[in-house]
Amino acid sequence: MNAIEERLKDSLGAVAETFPAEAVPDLRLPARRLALSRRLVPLIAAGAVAAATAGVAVALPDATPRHRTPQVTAVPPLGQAAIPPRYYLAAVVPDRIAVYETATRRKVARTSIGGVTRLAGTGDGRTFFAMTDQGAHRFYRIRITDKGKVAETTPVPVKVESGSVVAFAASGDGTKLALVLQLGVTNGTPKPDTMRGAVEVADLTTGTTATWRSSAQGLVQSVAMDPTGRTVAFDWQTLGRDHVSQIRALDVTSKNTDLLASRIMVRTATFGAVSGPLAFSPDGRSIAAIGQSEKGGVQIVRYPVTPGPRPRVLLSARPGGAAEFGALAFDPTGTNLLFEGGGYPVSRLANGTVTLLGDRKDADVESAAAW
Amino acid sequence: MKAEAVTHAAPRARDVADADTAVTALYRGHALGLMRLALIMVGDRPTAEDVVQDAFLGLHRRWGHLRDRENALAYVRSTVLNNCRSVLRRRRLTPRGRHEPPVWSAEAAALVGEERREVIRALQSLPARQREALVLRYFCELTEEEIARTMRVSRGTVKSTTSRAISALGRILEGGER
Repeated sequence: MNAIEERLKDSLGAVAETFPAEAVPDLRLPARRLALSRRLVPLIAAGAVAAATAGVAVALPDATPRHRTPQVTAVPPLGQAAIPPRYYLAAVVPDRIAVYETATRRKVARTSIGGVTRLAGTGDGRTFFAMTDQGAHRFYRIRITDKGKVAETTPVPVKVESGSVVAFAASGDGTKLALVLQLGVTNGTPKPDTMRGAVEVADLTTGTTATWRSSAQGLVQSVAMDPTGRTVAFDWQTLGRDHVSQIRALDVTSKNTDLLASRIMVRTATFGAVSGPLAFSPDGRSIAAIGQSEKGGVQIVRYPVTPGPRPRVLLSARPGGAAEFGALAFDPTGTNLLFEGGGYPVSRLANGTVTLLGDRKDADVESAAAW
Repeated sequence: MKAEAVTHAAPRARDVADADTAVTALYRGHALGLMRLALIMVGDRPTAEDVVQDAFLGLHRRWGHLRDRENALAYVRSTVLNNCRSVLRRRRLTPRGRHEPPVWSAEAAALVGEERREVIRALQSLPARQREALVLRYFCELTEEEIARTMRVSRGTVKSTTSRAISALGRILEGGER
């Protein structure tokens, strides 16, 4: 062991000692409840349906959770929504990506890419991009076959100008990536006086990048690219007393490199915006974002891109569910929305009905998903 | 997080009954070490406690599905590390003022000393993977194989990451590089 290793070992030991043994709290295990075997659930559900059809009232055991939100179903309702994409990709951050069949929730393939923090789809249901963060940001293009198998995982060279990439989106044809960068964050610690946001658009066919930086202090944390690849939507927030929260639209052909020369798409006047992912509808006329109700609840809201139509609340977060969202993505029909967060695992939202796709219990662990 | 040792078989009733006892015993034996590991990673005691509690609750939930209960400690250690990453990531993405870990409080500073704090600052300036590899190696005293299993990377990656991390740490401490 050399001198550096000895110093490190000694220092780690000293920091660890500041947590005394007597400070360890007791383990708080949950109260025991009747657990139903996964194999029994379909049988109970089938029995309940049969009994309901026959006009018989069904009394469930006391241990059955009663707080389930009425609009949530475990199986897709018939005739309510257009058929969703056949597959979706998901990763419990920072785990590996797997391909799941939407209808059966069955895992059909797994990629070898680890440390994934973000995923984006092009909208064709077969081409995806993944970002990993293992010391440096790396991007990969993933293509899956009609049978859901991984046909290609290709590293995509993207030169990140500076700062930390906090989100990215792909254009519909898969030739461009839009990255949002946070500048002024050192070693994970933000410095409010130097904090700037930036959007970088990387053209994967030419290898060129274009960057727009904010001329004022603030944060950019999410991004979406319209299907044409001409408009990039991003959220813009400033800190301090004059807090501003907006969703802006950047024309990527703009020569003005000030990010704040972009158009304001949504202000917080109607709905308080909170940080979360963004998703353009396939026609590019609306954008889904995370908003806040007047009572403080977190919602998925569909905002019109141009002024006029009123925003529409698509879903409210579960009471007590985490306010954070990890994924939002429309399918090509614009009817199905893939999302994760607000107390829900990876789920499909269509016509106000939520179909749970993931069965993850760790609601506080961020998840990346796309279709 | 999904553990390698998880099967999809339905939990047996006996497993559910055993879970309380087994997980509590594991917690009594290892909570302190894991909380200290989490403290080094996240910098403050309340978060470290939450991270470890969550990891053990996750273990308790999955106890019936664990294929290899001999590896329960490795599983929970991996979860703790993963939870720490999530905490650090959330802090990075939702800055609400500068985060000052209590590790740097006056009391802790007196206990740790300026020279050691300098080492910890240098450690914190390393990329996340390098930092984790060093903490698992020099604080938890794990073997390369155990580190690989905890970080879900290959043994070769652990070796190269640790080597690069030590070199980088040396450069920072000896040259004042950031």
